[in-house]
Amino acid sequence: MSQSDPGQWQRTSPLAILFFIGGVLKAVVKNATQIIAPMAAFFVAFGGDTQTKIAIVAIGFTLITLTVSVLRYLFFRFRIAEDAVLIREGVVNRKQLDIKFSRIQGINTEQSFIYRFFDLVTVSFDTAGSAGSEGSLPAVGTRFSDALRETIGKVGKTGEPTDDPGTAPAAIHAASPATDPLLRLDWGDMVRIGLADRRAFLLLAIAAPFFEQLSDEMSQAIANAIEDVAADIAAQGTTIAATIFGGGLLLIIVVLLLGSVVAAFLRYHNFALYFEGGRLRSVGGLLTRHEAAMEPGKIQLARISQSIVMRWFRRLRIVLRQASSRTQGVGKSFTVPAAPPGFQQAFLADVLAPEAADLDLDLESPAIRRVSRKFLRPRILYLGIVPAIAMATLGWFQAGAQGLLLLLWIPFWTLIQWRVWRRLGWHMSGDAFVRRTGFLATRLDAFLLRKVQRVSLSQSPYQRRTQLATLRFYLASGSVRVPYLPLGDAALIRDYVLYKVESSTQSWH
Amino acid sequence: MFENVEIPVEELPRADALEWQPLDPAYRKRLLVDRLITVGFVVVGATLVTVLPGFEPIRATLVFGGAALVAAAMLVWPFVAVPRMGYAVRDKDLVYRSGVFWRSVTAVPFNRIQHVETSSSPLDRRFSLATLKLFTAGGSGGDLRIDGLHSERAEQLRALVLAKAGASIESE
Repeated sequence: MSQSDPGQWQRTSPLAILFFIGGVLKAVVKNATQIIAPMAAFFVAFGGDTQTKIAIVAIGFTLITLTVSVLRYLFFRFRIAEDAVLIREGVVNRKQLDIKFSRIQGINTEQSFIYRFFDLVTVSFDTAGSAGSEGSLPAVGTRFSDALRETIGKVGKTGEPTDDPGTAPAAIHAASPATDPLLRLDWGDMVRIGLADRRAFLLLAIAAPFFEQLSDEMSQAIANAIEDVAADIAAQGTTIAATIFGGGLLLIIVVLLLGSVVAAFLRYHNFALYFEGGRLRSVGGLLTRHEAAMEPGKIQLARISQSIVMRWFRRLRIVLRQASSRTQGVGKSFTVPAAPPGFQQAFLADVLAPEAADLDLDLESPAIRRVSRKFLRPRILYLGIVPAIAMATLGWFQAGAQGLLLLLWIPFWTLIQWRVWRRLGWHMSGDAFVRRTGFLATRLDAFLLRKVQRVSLSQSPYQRRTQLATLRFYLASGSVRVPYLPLGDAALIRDYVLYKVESSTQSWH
Repeated sequence: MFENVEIPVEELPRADALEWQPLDPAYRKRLLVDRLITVGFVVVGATLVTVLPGFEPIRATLVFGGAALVAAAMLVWPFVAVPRMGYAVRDKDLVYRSGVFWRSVTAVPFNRIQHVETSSSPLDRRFSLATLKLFTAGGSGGDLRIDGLHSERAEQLRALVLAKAGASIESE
């Protein structure tokens, strides 16, 4: 912030108090559990009838909310400097925010019903996925917000991501017939996607509330019918009962899988992936045609995954992640639901990151290095052996020798961890890093080193004794953790990644 | 002309062989005051438990013994943890270390910093202390937070980080 900056510290409209009231109410809802205890204490301890108590609580709550909101308004100041928005806020804990124009990715405005009468808006700044705080300016004039948007647009980058279904620019629509797709999925792929979708089984949970909408009579009729059938079954013996139960279960599974296949057709029918005008674009869908677009430069992380079912079908799934932020929630992503093995390597070299073409993206690549086997020891000891012995001892007292069966947890857990360790590995080229994880499924998380936001190297007491360390790369779309690396390797990788980030002249977004 | 000079890995700047800057000595006192207030509540709580009807002296010994252990650990902790915290400012990044049992070193390159924040609670202000927070892009994990800086040092660091972050934008 320089003294020559033209903007002066100023307040927003007094109607901003409404914004702060909203903030206080949100905080109350968020901390509801902590507020219930003193309220309950008040109701128990204070004499008088319930109506008086409720009136006291309501008046007290309103007074506190108003006082806090007015104080927050009075302490809120902002200033538009030459290259940044400066915000000072806080009554007890004072804060100053400096948001550089060049860091602002998007400017969002919100106009509530009351603000509409006074031509006011709340402006919030999206700074490419900062986890903690983007600033907001409550209750500023629309003309001011338009002017601010224009000023920031001139200085910084205000490009909105366009990967929302159906929001791809018109130019892309026009260009589509001329380009050959990189990938096209047929009806067989729809079946594969549907069968491999583990969410199929979640459909049951989602559909459950609809059963409640059945009328009472219908529910009663079904209940009576079930009772009759159950009585018949009981009369005929348990073998038939088991057959019918098994058949019913199978029927449910078949219906769910069919539903999942239908969902795959609805979402991905005639799916085609294009690369045109420097953008990735996917088109697909049976009734509603979904379009998604993404600039490869915006990709922070590529995840290549293969579930057991997908492995049978010799297909893998690719998800490309963009920067995430507090306002966007989960970062925007671009999905290729099924691709043949080998597609990912050509996709990386030709489209995603030609600079990292030498990174091997084969799920079973021999280049992938395992982490230290010492990864297994604390996991098996603290989550396998110790709880199993404790439970078996308790079981011994409660149920005698049968309690010792709980010790079987140890080999079972050890096998799981052994498999997790076998799948965990990493590999890096001069410009990119890939980590493999998985238990039954296998996942590769690949990213360009220059996209890294910060790096941390940590050691537990056991790791310090064994000269090992955990490396964590923070990206704008999440973090990638590689545990139990030899300390020397971890430090070298950390220093190399920092060198790549700090010497990079290319933008990370 | 485009150049791509190879850097021998052994010549890479190392982020662990650094001269660490300690946190402000007043930070220990500030933590101690904070802990004393909490310990006060623990002692009052333990005392209240003992005056309950039917309370046995042996239990009082156990309750006070447990409370004393917790209080001692809480009061000793700042003297153990604070000396292990520190930061180092390099030309291209800021490095922060912390942790007694689980130790970590985090490096934040200046050209990845989104914005910077300084804040101080009333207790911080009593000891002229402030917290510096560096925000990078991405919703994962916490951003880098350095507590226990002298308020002037926090301001200096904020200005430096902003200048460095701004310079990196201009050079991009």
